[in-house]
Amino acid sequence: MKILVCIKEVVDPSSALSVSPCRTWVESGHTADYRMNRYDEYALEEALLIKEAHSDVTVDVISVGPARVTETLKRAMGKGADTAVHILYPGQGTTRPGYMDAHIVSSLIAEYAAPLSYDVIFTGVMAEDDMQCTVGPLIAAHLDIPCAVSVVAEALNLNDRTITVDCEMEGGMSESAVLSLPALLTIQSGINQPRYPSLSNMLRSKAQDIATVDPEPVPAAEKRDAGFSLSLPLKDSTCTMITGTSEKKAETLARLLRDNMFVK
Amino acid sequence: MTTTSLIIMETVRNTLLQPVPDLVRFSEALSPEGRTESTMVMAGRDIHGPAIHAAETTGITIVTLEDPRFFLPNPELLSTGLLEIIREASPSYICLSHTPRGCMTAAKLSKTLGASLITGVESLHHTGDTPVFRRAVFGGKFAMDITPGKRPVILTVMPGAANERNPSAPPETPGRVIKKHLPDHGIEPDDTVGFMPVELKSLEDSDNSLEEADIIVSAGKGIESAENIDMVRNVASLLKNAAIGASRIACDMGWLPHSKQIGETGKRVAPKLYLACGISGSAQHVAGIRNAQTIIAINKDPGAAIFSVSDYGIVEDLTIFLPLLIEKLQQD
Repeated sequence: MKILVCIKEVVDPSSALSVSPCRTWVESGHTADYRMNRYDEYALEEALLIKEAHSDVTVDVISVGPARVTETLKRAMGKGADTAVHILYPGQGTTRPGYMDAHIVSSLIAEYAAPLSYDVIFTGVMAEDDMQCTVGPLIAAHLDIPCAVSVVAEALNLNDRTITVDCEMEGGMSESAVLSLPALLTIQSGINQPRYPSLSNMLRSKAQDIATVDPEPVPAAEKRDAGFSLSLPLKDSTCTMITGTSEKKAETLARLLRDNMFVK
Repeated sequence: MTTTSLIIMETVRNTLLQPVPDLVRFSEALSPEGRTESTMVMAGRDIHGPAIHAAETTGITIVTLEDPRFFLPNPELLSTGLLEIIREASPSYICLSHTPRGCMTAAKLSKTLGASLITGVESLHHTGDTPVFRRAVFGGKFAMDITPGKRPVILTVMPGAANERNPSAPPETPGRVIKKHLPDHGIEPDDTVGFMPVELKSLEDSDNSLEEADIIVSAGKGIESAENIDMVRNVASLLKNAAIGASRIACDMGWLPHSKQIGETGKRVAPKLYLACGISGSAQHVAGIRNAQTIIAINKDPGAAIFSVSDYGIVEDLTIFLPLLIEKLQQD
């Protein structure tokens, strides 16, 4: 059984970020924390759990982005992935992370995955940075395989080559469904507890090369959007900021709560 | 040029999951004059009732796409079942609700149709005649404006994306209802398309504390550890009829049970006071607290999206601030 996990490296959204001068993406300071997209951590863990529960399972990881994503791929191998592949995002150079078009990312991954006949492909339900929820289903569309989204539980049925999934829905409901393999699952957070990399796997990943694919530039005609720009969101309420020293702020808030009869 | 739009509505067990007016209002706003020619496709098993009701209340044409396999959500089947209808109508826009399923159907359609795809649309405005769609990125810290380049444009729309528009007057004449069935589109009853819904499950949950509380003190990622949840509990214990809530991350980390999760996929709450501790304020979470009377947010990130929906904000590290607050609340 062959499993592919698609991983995105993101800058931690809670780090200090500002809009880049060309307004197409964000800029981060030197202290910004680049790491594996949180949802992809759960996707990878789900693949590793399958690998541990069955024999003859290989888990490959793939990431599209600038050169630095090999660090995140190494971490994935440190957790137990067998091999890793890095695809440079076309036209972005090797260093600058930036906005990546979901159609381009998905077609690059699908092109790589198609000849390798993976049985299950995992992605996170969305990326924390661009929050699109589309790369997974787009890969499935390219490969013409069924797809289940926002998966909160899964069970492989190797006898009839199917996978049973629970897909999270709104309002505390979930839908259980059966997919024929090969299939793609987008994994929701909370499905498992992602592990930390192990020392032995980290040492192994250091010795192992990560293949880098440098694809052809994408013709302009392939691009789906005419333009985009980033800005700070408009505030839809007038938030009163309570200021002062920590002590002063605590005092102000306590008084506010007391004045509104919220305190026992 | 007339703006045409196809609205896609899902049903679950023959019931609509999302309110009809939201997407219709958004669809109307797609043309600068608010005169979009909208048609709604409703997929389900026996949905004549909801379809008639939608036709009466909106005045637009409703196409019902009926099939036993649509009794439970089937985004896989929907993305193939819609193709014929879309080709016939050749709309400039296709609007779906922003859910993971909606995104999946949208993505699969966009691949097949070579269409633009914009998910999680929070609002739109026009530059001349061209609509520009706004969506949140980085947990709502920034907004991204997108001008689509290809037609059709497929959109998944957040609730309330066209809220500033006045609701249309009730129509004088109801819309037409046109019945269609999947086999009319070359999809036979035994085609499974690889995704077979089995059943719907409800989370077992007997915890009503969030619904009954006047005050909710809620913990997010900024709480940093399970031990620090005690500080949140302490704050709540000093307030009248207060309960503990949590963001998705705090539940995923195992700091609090998922029955405490507030948001689109968790609980929707309406307390008098919502005290958000270390919650970044993703749209998913904010959807669950829209009906809170007062929101106070404490977060160490001054750019956190939660401040944009709060009445009062405090930029502080919770591990320092909450002990001070507890001290002040205990005084006198």
